[in-house]
Amino acid sequence: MVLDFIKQRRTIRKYKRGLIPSEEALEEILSAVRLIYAQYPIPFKLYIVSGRTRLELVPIMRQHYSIFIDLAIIGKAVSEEVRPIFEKLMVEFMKDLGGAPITLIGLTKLYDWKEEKWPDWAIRNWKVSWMIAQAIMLYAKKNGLDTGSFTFASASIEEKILEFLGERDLNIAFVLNLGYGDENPIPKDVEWKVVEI
Amino acid sequence: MLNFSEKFLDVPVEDGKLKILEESTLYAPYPLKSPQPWQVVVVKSPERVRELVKFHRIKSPVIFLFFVNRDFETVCLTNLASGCAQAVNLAVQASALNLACFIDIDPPKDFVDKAFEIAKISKTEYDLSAVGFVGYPAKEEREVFFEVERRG
Repeated sequence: MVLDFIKQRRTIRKYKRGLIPSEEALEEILSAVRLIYAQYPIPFKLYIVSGRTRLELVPIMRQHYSIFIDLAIIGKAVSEEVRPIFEKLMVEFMKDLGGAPITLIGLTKLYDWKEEKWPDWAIRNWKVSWMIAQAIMLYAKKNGLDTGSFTFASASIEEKILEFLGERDLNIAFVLNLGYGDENPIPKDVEWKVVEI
Repeated sequence: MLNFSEKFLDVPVEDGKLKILEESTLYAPYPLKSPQPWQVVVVKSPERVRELVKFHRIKSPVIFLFFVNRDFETVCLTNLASGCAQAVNLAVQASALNLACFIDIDPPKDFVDKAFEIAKISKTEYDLSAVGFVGYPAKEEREVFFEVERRG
């Protein structure tokens, strides 16, 4: 059963509007964050953005089509036959970032994206943040919810989001939409890249 | 649902459970622009495990090594994130099978060197993103010191 929700977790870019995750589900997701954070303490803050605040944040996040650039890169990787569907989905997604009722923003202390080599502390913060993100995604799925991460191709957008949130010392590690999915993404082909020794 | 442990019983993990754990690691997020950017190596032969745990404070009967591709021979942060997500899948799945897990995301250098050596993985092509120690949890005895004073 656990393996089922691990396998069923997919990036969702379209959400059912008006369906709000319950406080109980949110609390269980937060308990997963606490479990990881307790094992790997790092500077970390999680924003749960919804309602009017999300509506105000969306125009900042989609400025200069920075998200669109990232999605376009992904789009090039999908097959010719599904590309029209993907493109339609991308345009829809850009309107209000999938219409998810909640967007989670994980912040930690990171390094300069332009630098090739990051110090150990920054890599550790990055890794732990993504362990937290994965735990959120799995616990969401366990509670019948869906998630989808998206990234920005622009440092200036990140700055504007941090300014909006009133954050000076932390950086954005991940952004995840959370809600009830309104699409059925095609199953992922996985290759058995595991060897036993 | 998550059972982290630092001490494990010296009891092997059944092959059936091991297969489920292995499968769980295949479903981590990764950028669509590339194929799965990882190689998971499961160290389960007692000799190899002994060789490896000499360099780590955690001893477990099975060790998962999450190697991720480097990007033109430099660290790829996205792939590192995928490797850590795989480790979380492992921990969640292990707990569901009444096993426990310890994830190390920055193991000691000697351990890393040995891991690359026994896995026969190229350091120019891969990074070791995370290590998952798995087994049946042993009762952890923690030394707790505090003063007790009775009066009256």
